[in-house]
Amino acid sequence: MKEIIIKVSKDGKVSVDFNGFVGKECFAERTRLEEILRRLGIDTKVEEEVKKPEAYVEQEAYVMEVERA
Amino acid sequence: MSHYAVVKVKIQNPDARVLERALQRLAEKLNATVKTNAVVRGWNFRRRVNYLLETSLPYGNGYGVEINSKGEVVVHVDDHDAPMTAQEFQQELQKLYTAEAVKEALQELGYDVTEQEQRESIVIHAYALG
Repeated sequence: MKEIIIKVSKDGKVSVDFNGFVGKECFAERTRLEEILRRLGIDTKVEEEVKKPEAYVEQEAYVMEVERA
Repeated sequence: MSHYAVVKVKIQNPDARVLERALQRLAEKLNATVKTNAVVRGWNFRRRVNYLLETSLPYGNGYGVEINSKGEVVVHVDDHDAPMTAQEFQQELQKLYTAEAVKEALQELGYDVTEQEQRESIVIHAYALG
């Protein structure tokens, strides 16, 4: 199941944790989220980004599935 | 692919509905009442502002919030002996505004959203529907 956990701190920083996304889906979802936030008056600047190890496993599984099809 | 990111936010030209929800939440914490287009008073100053969180302060009638000509959110308050300094108020407002905006954005993207307010932060969980 796709899940996003967002922590808003009072120092003006927001940490965003994407789980269960396949391939580059989560980057596309982040772009959509940023676009709506911009419309609501929030400008965002990424300070740190970490790709999770399991992300590569999920991506590999996804590629294999596509090849089989 | 799943990933984790830390993002710095800046509020400019806030959405009125989202700002009003954030101000209402902040007013509840301060036991204040939200008034629009009102006058905030302090020691030797008075100023008409977009929003007043009216509450009895030692040297004023509450916290004034103005959206200036650049679209920035400016706080006016005589915070001497007040429960929250101007800076603390601004930080809290930014946190609440960001949380309300994030929830609205996630709901627009089709997620089911829950929120948990902690001491220093707000945690939002979003689950894809369907």
